[in-house]
Amino acid sequence: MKNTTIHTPKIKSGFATPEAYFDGFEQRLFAKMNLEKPVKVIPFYQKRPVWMSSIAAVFVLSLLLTIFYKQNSTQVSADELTTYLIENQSVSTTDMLQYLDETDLESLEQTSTETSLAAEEYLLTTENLEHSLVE
Amino acid sequence: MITDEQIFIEKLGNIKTQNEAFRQLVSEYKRPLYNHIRNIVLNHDDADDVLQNTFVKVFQNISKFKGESKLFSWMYRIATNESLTFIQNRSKKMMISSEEVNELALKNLETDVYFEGSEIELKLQKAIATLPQKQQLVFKMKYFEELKFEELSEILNTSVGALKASYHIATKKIEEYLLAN
Repeated sequence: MKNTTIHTPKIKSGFATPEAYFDGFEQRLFAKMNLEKPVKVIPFYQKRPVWMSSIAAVFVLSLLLTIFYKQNSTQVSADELTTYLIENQSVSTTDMLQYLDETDLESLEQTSTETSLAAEEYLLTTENLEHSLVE
Repeated sequence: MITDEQIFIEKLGNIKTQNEAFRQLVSEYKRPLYNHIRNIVLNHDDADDVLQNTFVKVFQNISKFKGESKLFSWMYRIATNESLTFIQNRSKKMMISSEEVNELALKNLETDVYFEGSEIELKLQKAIATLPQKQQLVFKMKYFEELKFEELSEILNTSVGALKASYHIATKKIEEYLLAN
């Protein structure tokens, strides 16, 4: 009667698995291990020829330099200056003098003398002075 | 003389052929190794985790396999170690003993959708749980997995005589338990 209880009949473990568990096992395992069929990877540095990269680099560099110089430029055109002075009537003579150097002042003085002489001549030759002054 | 197993092991070690050889290995051993692991950890999800870890370990360590034992025995050894480590880790995490982890898994069997056993199957599992860990292993591998004592000897690194004695004692204890309960 040796081992009668568990050997005749034999008792099963009773364990079961979900349906199709073993069918999908490899897929899950290989995904975990990154053993899926290898995908061809093209390295970035081999994808484009060197000359294409060089052209792109030159283009980007020139664009950046243009923007840089434009942003840092301090030159003001004559038109821009005139417009500024018209729009900002409150700028005093003293303020303007601060931006003038000696040469400018000499030039201005000469122009001023010429203008005074012209004005005197104009006044002498104009008959209806009163009318002109009122106007 | 080069055997088929040696050729297969060489394929597993060669970077050009190892993926295909490994797929073949998984296909051939996923079921027996799953049954072995499930018998130890009892729960399906846990068995699935341990089985995956086992194959990962096999793949990672195949270069260290020197062919001193059969590939089959080597993989069973890894699966056994992984299963026991899994239980140990869970016991540390839950701050309870390995035996208590086993008792908990056994209790959960009663409501486990992937346990189709009737009363006698459940009673047998409870009887096995009363055995020392090594006896449990020997009994499960012999009784459920029907491995030969020589194979058990290679996997558990124990003599055939000691294994036969261990199995005999385990069987007696289980029979006594079943008669008493």
